[in-house]
Amino acid sequence: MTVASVPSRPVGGARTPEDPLAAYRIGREPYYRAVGGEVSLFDVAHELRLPLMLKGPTGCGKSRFVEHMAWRLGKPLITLACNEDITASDLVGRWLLDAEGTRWQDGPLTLAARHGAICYLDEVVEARADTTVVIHPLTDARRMLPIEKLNEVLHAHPDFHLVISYNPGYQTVMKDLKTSTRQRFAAIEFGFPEAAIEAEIVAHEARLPAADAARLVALGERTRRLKGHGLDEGASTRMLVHAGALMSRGIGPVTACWMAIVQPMTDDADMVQALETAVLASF
Amino acid sequence: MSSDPRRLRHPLATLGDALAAAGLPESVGIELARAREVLDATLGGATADTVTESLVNLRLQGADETLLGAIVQRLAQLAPRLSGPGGLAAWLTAVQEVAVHARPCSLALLASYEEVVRHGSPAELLMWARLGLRLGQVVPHTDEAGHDARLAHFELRSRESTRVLSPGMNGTEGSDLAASKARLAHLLRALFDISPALLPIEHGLASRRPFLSNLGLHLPEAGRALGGTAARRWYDAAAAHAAAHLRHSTHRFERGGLKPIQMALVGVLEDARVEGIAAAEMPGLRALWSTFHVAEPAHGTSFYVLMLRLAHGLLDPAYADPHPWVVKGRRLVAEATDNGWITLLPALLRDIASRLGNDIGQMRLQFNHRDYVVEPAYRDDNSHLWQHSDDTPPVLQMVADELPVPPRNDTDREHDVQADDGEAAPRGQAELAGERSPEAPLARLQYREWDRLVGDYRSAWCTVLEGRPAHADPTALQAALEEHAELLQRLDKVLRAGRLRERVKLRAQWRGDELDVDAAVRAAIERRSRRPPGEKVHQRFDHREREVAALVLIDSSISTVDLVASGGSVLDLARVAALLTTLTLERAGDVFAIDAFCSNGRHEVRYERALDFGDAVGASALARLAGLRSRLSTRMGAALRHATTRLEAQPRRRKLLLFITDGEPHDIDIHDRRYLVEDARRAVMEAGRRGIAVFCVTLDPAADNYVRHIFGAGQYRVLDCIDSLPRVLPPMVLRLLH
Repeated sequence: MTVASVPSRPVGGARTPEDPLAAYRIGREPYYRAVGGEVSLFDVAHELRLPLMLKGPTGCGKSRFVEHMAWRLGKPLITLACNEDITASDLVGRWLLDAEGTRWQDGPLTLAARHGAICYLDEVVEARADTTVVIHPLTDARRMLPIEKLNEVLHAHPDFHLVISYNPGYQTVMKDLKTSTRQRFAAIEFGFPEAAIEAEIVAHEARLPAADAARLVALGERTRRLKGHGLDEGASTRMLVHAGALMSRGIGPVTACWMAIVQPMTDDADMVQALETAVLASF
Repeated sequence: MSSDPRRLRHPLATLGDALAAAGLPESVGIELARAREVLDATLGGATADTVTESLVNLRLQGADETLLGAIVQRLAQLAPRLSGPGGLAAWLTAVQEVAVHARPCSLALLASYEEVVRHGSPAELLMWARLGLRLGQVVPHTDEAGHDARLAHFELRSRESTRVLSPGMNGTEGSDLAASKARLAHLLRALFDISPALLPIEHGLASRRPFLSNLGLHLPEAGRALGGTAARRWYDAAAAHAAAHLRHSTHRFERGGLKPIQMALVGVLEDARVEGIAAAEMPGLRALWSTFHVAEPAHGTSFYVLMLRLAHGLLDPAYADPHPWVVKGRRLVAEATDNGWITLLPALLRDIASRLGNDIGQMRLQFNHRDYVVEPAYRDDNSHLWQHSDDTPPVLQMVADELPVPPRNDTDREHDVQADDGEAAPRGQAELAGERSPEAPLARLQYREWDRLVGDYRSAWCTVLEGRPAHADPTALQAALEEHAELLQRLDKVLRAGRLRERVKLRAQWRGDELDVDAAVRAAIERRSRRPPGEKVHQRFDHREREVAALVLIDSSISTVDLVASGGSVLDLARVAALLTTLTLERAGDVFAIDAFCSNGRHEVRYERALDFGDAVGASALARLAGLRSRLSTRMGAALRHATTRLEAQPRRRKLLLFITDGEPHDIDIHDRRYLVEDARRAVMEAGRRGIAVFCVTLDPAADNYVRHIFGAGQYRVLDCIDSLPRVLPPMVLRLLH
């Protein structure tokens, strides 16, 4: 493998040149409550360096899971939140100008592939489908990344592992993965955990008594029934944690839910009123 | 009458005297004697005098025995509510005035007053009654319509009637069913995970409470509760209560040997049971319902009041009530439910009800079951709790016949306000123009047809008769549209997302966000070769107008008369799908048409233009669409060719032919199954060569083979119910964009 250059980052404190990924290592264990076999599945997939796709609604714990797994496996994690303005050079890298001339800056994908990290492309469908194609050579048996601007073929570090996530509910006409992209990945599907587990998560994250957490989760489930019937998505676990955190700081449950769940979720007056009653009914 | 102090001490004695003196019937005297206890307890000792005075007055003005008896009875029930200052006086005045000026409305007034009294001051109530009387004066007294209007007012069935009591409110904001529907639908789905149809209680049905039927949940059209938030709470409470029944009242009680008192009590207990189960899961519901339970010991001890007190006690554990019967009722229920309400089984519930009912009988309390309405008013009439003998359903069938309801003009029906385009036909025309007298065709055109055995076209082989469908009643279609308003919004969203994404890269521009590398390299070469360099070296993205023309072609052959699982015929489904699609396209600024075809041999391919390019989706378009009928056969090729011709004439950049069918091509003069399939395939290919994208939506779940053959893989979708339309539309839009 060729190490063409050590990418420099504009900000950053004392970083040993030996470990360009120090900033991406995770020190403390991120809390994650396993729901099914996803931890062992990820373990095996990582062992095989099988590209992984995490599907699931927003706020159900996909990103937290990846963080947790990176910590568990002791691998650095490079995350990129995708949006539709992301170009191939945002992923791979680009030449920059500085006082001495031009200087190459690795993009996150190249950085991960060069030094061996888990590269996590969050909400990958948000990126344009033709941009996503640059990951293709990295995600099959070749495991390489041709960087034409550097005139280099980068063979991925043995530790490199690509993980993407997206929310299947969000695709519109143009926002979907190409079949050729999809078929390179193994997938783990995420949903909201069952009530008891979700209550445990909310109680832990929001430092809330179990009974209150259970009420919140029951409310969350009620809002999820409205998915597709006025709401694009029900209240996520993350939202429930936010409401719970407000409650644990002494804000009344109705106000907390109003602030953290009802208002953020919709602007539709009928829906707001219906949710308001649902909140009142739940506490 | 003088103010002899003895009267206050012995009201009954004086009453008897007065009644006898006024020649009042004895039955009224008995009623008064019965009511005495409550009247004394709640309204004070002088009440009986005042009442007697009024009764005598009424008698003198011609009131009959039934009315007087009803007044006394009603007064006994209402007494707790009239105890405020001026309450009784206002009630008596209202009753007198109505009895004198609008006698037929008196009983309605008596029945409605308890609803009314809940929501306004005595002065407002009197105003409400007088407004009702005025209705009869504006319209001549003898006029049937005037009477009806007045009766509707006193029965609280007219909107105006319910608005009077909420000064400063225009009565629309959240206080009627139309404004509450969306909210209630969301609420019931969220809380109970059910979505019953929410229907207005028809005026013809004199139901005074919400009720459940096989059609859904029927709620009063105008709020029985008045005023913004209170009305919202009332509807919330009523809907939540009924939903609790739908979720938890699975048992149907047999009337068996139960007396009306016991039946009423079964209702009270079952109401308490379903509310108890729901509140165990959602504690806040108890507070929602409790606001409507106001009965307390001070309100008296008639059976009505005791039932209300029991209901209150069963819902609200904090409510204290010393009455032995209420205490017993709560104890019996508590014993049966120490592991939660869910453990109260129907047999035990029935047993408790009959025991409590027997106690009422022994206490010799009166119960007039014909007059009985469930209290509090948010609770439904509980008729669904009982097994009905086979002959009862007619009421609901009547409702079913009346549905669908004509749309109200205050909903977002902007498409309806389009003026009729002058060719409106009388409504009955569809019936007049029977099967045997086909509408005269507007045009007669000939198209070739592909013969697969010959391997060539037969020229001028099929005759297409172009016409317009007769007008028919579009009510059902409008109702379907209203029903799918939410779906339409979703479609709109999908399409708008697609529309925004239509970006085009403009190269070699004067200015732009990025360099156009090719142009820049060219310019550099030109400069080095000492020629003047081109200055258009930028590129940028821009949006382009869609410029889409779409034609929806519906197969209206006889097979489309079949019913589909989701209700309605295949043609109905196709009609709604077509309409939703075009409405979506209309919002995106496209032009569109809806046509239909059927055939009767190659000489008679009927092609009907229901909605032309450039037409607005207005009343007449809907009527024409409704006028499409299922008949004859399916000769696809000729129809596709004609539709292609029509689309070609549209000066738009992109053209789409959306074909909705339910089965394979077939015609009476063709016996080779593959012949018409091959011809249709040819017609689709011809359209493609002329720049028209053809997309097929088939309603036949087993259509894969021939539809794929005709339209090509990826050019069709199977649609099994209207709700799948969002799945169907996006690929179609993609077709348009690429």
